[in-house]
Amino acid sequence: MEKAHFFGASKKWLALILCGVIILGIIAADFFINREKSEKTYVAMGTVITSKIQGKGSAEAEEEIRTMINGMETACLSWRCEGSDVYRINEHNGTFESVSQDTAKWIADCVDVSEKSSGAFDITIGKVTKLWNFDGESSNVPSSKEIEKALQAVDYSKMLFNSTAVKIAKGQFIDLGAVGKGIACDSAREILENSGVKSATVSVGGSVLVFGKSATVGVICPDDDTKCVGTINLKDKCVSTSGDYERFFEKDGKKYHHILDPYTGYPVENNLRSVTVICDSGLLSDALSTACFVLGYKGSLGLLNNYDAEAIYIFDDNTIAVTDGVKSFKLTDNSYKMK
Amino acid sequence: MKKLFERNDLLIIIAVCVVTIILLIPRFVGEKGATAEISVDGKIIKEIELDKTDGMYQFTTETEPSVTITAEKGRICVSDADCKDKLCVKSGWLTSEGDMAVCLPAKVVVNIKGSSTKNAPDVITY
Repeated sequence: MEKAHFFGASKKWLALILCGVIILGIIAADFFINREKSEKTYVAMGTVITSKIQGKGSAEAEEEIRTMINGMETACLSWRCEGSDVYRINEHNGTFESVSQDTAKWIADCVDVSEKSSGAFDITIGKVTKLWNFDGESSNVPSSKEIEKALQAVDYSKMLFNSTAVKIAKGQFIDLGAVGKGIACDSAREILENSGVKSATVSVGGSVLVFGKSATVGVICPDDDTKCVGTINLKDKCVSTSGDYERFFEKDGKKYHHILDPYTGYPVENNLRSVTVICDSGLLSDALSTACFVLGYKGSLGLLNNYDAEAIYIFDDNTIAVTDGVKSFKLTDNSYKMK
Repeated sequence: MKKLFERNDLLIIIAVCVVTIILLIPRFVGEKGATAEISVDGKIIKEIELDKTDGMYQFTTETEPSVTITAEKGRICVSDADCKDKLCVKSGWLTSEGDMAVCLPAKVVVNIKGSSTKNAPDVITY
C-alpha cells in the first residue's frame, strides 16, 4: 500500500489540501465581499433616513438611494414642491394632469386601499390635514365649521386616473404624506436589488425596509421613544407604524394627534396607541397602518387579509395584540402584556 | 491498525483551522468604544471618539439654524439650537449605539455608532 508522504501525491493528501484551499477561498471571499458596508443617517423628505447596507457596492447603492429620495420628493410626492406631480394635480384640480407612471401607479395603489378600507385611508383628506397643520410650529383646533367644509372635499371615489394622468374633483386636495416614506422604501429596494448588495435595512422616518437577510426590527414604545416594546425578526419585508405619539399638540388638556379620521375630520379616538403593519410593499404597509389605526383592531383584520399583511396593535391599556402570522414577536418591555 | 490521520495530516488540519480562525477574527471583533458622527445634509463633518474625549469639547455648526454640540467623555449632546422647538436639544445626552439627535430644519444629525450594544434591534419602526 502506498504510504503518505508530506510532498507525496496520495489521494488523501490531495483531498485534504484541496479541502483546505476551498475552505480558505470561501472564507476569504466572504470576508472581503462582506467587509464592504455603508451606514448613513441623514435628513431628507423632512424626516430622518438611516440606511445600513452590507456587501459589494454598498456605498454606491447608498448614494443612489439618497439621490432617489431627494428627487422623488421634489419631482413627484410633495404637495409643497412647485412643479411636483402632486403639486400640479392639486393646482389643476378638476382637470386631468399628466404625471409620471410611478406617481399614477402609487395613486392607483392608494385608491385601492381606500376602496378596500371603505375610505378609512383616503389621500383626498389633504384639505383637512392642512387645516390641522400638524407640521407647523403652532397648532390650533380648527372650528367645526371649517372641518365640515374641508370634509366636503374628501372622497377618493371622485378621483379619476389612468397610467399617465390623474384628475381630482374640483376643490379636492391630495396629500401623499401618509405613504411617501413607504414609497421611498419600495424604491430603495429596487435600487438594492439592481446593485447586487447582500443585505440592508433602510428606515425612512420609521417606515422600514429589511432586505436580503433577516434583521431584528424594534417596535417603538408609544410613551418613550428611547425604548422598544418588542422586536420581530423579518426578512425581505416592509414595516410601518402609525401612532398617536408621532405628531400631536395639546390644547386645554386634550391631546390632538395627526392620524385623522376621514369620516369626521378629527383625530381618531379609539383604544389604540399604535399599529405596526408588516407586508411586502412599503406603500401598502404605510397606507394599511393608517387605515388600521382608523378602523380599530377588530375592524381592520379583514383589510389586512386582503393584502396578506400582518400587524401588531398596541392598546392604551398597555396590552398588545398580534395577527396570526406574526410568529417572531418578542415582548421586551415588562410594562406591556400580550392580549 | 492503520491510523485515520498521520502526524503530518494533523499538522495540515491544524494549520487550516488556525488560518480560518485568524481570518474570521475581524468578523467577531467589532469596533470598541462609542464614536459620535455629526453630519450636515448627509455629509459627515466630524467624528468624535467619545472614549478619548478629555474634558469638554464644544462647537457650533455653520447651518441655518445653527446647532451647538457638546461632547464629554462617553457622551455627546446638542446643547443649544437656534430654532423654536429645540427638539434636538430635548434628545439629551447620547451615550449608546443608535442614540440620535436630529435637527430637521438644519439637516444636522448627531448619532453614535460603533459601541457594543448587543441586544439593540437592527432597526426601529416608529
